[in-house]
Amino acid sequence: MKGSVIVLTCFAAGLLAGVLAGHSFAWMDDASMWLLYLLMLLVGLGVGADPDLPDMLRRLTLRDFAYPVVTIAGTLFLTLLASPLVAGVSLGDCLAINSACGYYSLSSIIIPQLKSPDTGASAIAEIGAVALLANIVRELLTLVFAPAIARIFGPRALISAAGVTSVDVCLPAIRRCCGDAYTAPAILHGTVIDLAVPWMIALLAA
Amino acid sequence: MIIGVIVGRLMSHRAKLPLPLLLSATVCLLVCLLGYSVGADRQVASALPRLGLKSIVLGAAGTIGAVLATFVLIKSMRR
Repeated sequence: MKGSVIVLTCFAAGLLAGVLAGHSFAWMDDASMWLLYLLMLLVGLGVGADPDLPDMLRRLTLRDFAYPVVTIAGTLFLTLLASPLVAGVSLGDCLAINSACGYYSLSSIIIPQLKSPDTGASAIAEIGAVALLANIVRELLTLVFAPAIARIFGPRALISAAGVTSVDVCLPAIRRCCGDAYTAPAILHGTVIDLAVPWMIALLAA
Repeated sequence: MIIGVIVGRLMSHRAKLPLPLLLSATVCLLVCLLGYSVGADRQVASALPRLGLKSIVLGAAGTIGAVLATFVLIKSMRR
């Protein structure tokens, strides 16, 4: 929750600065791209430095891989049904935005950069903003409703709701609501989705 | 990311980077720049109330879809 509040505050601060300045700078696009490369490197360092990584890989079964696939499939299927309610955003962009499964930083940067310049600067910035906000909404919904989701739909459903954040932000809530036994499945789930998200976004947004 | 995983494995018993802090700082900078680009565009900034509703619809759809799909899978496996 604290992380989401900080991110929302940063977004609001940037938004306010942009409104007050009234114009953007060309170097900001390059800066965003290099920061994104840095982010991917840091994510890789975190995964590689995990001492449990070899054990986790040895214990993998086909069923463990099925849950992230079901999470992605369920996310995309309901997004497909809900997309007519989201006026002004194409079906492809709706799917690309929600294929991030809560990875708001990555989706809000990658999706705008994959859009053709012909789309228009305003439309591209709008898609980036919706990608950021929609994925933050997912994280907040999971954190707020974690106990109810675990109780009504089960521990695996809570891990699915968390999407990619089952490996970081939502992990404490998952442990609290589902028990320590679900820590490893949650980490695996988040890691698999983490690795899949850039590819899915690239496929759906291009 | 792949370079990061390899370097992370090699360095896992050596230097400890404050990765959570670095990740948070990077994400905050990225998000701040995104906020700036949205705010600097007057058309988008004025449309934010509308974008908020779209975001809630999309975020809720993704969350509910994932929950229901997993719930149905678990139920079908128990039968």
